[in-house]
Amino acid sequence: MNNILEIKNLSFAYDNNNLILDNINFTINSGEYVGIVGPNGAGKSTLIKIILGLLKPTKGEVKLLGQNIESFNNWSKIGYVAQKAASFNSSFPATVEEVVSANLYPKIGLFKRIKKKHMEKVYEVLKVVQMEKYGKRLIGNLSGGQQQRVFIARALVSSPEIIFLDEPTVGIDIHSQENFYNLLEELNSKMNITIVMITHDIGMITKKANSVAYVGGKKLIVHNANSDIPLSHVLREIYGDEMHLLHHL
Amino acid sequence: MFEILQFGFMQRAIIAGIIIGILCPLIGIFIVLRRMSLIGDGLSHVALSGVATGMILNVSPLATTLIFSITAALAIEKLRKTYNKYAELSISIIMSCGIGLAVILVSLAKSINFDLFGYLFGNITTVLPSDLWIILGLGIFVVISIFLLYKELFYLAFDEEAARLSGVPIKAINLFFIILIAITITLSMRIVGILLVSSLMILPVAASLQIANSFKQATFLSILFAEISVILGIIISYYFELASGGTIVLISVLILILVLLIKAKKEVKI
Ligand SMILES: Nc1ncnc2c1ncn2[C@@H]1O[C@H](COP(=O)(O)OP(=O)(O)OP(=O)(O)O)[C@@H](O)[C@H]1O
Ligand SMILES: [Mg+2]
Repeated sequence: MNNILEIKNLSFAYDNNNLILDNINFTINSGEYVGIVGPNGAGKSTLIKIILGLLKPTKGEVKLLGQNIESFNNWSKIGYVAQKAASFNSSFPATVEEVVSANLYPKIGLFKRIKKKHMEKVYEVLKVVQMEKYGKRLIGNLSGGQQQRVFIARALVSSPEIIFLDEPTVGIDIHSQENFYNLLEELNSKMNITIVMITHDIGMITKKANSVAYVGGKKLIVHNANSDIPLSHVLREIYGDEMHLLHHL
Repeated sequence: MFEILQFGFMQRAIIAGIIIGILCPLIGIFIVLRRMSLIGDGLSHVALSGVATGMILNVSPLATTLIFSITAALAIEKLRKTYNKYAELSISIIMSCGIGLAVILVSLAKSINFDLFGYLFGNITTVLPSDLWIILGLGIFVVISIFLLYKELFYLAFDEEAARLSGVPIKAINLFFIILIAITITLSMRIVGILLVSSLMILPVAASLQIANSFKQATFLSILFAEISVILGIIISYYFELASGGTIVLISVLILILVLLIKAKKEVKI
């Protein structure tokens, strides 16, 4: 399949008169590595939630893996790391193992127990995010960055075809961020996982991603190496006068 | 001390007690972690009107209460969709209906010989042989259900949004879970009493959360604490002729305090 995500004429408002997104079109092909950037409150997280069916579009349609999102049922093919995924109830008595294996439950099936091969898969992805030594630790007792890695592992454990990451590198130190970007590149190139990542790190994402979607002023503009419009133009359109500020980052 | 087991009612009380000592914390751990504690109180108040109805109609209060509390559970789920921004409002509405109805029915039933106090605070002498079979049967049903849905219930409690996105059928599980709560409250009311059921769901879990190192351990410790409370509570309430529910709940409070003290002492050492 080529079009892994297809958004047509999408508009969205939390309350009726206040459009956050206005008539957006957006397509992502299988195997792409796409960044989503834009100012705070532009609607990036909202867009991802609409794509995942967590919010209903006011207008327009969303197709994920060729299926209409309202009737979508292929959830094991989708990975998602929410913005502030790590802001859960920190006294929840769950180990890293228990949290990561949770995303395998639908695969394991209702009424069935976790088996050894599932645990092996859990440790395989924990190793990918370098957290394999923390399997038995309570998730609430880890640092914010470590928790974030656990949630990335959770998104990877069901072997998804596409992963949505909402500011996954917030709270992760520079060295680990580098590892993380390398990890994404590997997942993308070796395992052919489509990656959609929201970030404020424009410098990094323009280098790493195949294309970058700029969200702002209720619009979405895709920019990549083949685009006719110069990037500076897009940035001014989306960020306005803040643009030169962000250039320093 | 085993002489107390020669009485049929004590045997029944102990068996029923062992079952609800598993049920209440097993349901309770998910209630606590999902911050739904109010639901236990809401449903148990409705249970009282079920009891009164059974008395007036002269049928098994256990059966009428079961019908009342399951209906109330379904109503709460339905209302929760109407007031999705104020989830606890739906519980308050149903709870008000339950209390209002209960007060009227209880005043109607006054003429009948009605052990209101026993239903409110628990009375070990009142578990009838026919009750025991219902408690046993439905109790096993609830335990097996939780056992089979354990991992999905865990995921729902930890992160409902992620559970939904991973493909867990959350609507169906939520609905089924609230019915399990209603059944558990009904089964527990003879031993712990309507007003104290939700305490037995919450206190052992509160104690276990202080020291558990995993979700499995938290579940196991909650059940252990609840069993100690229930069995000791039944025995003590027999010898001192106390309301069993009150005794059981006070023992759970003691266990909680003990756990907190031990934990505090450990932390000082480190
Ligand atoms: N649940 C909600 N109800 C009403 N408005 C909301 C809700 N969530 C977000 N908004 C509003 O929608 C707009 C877009 O929010 P969104 O979270 O999508 O922004 P974002 O682009 O992800 O920003 P950030 O970079 O800060 O994460 C904001 O103006 C926000 O205030
Ligand atoms: Mg956001």
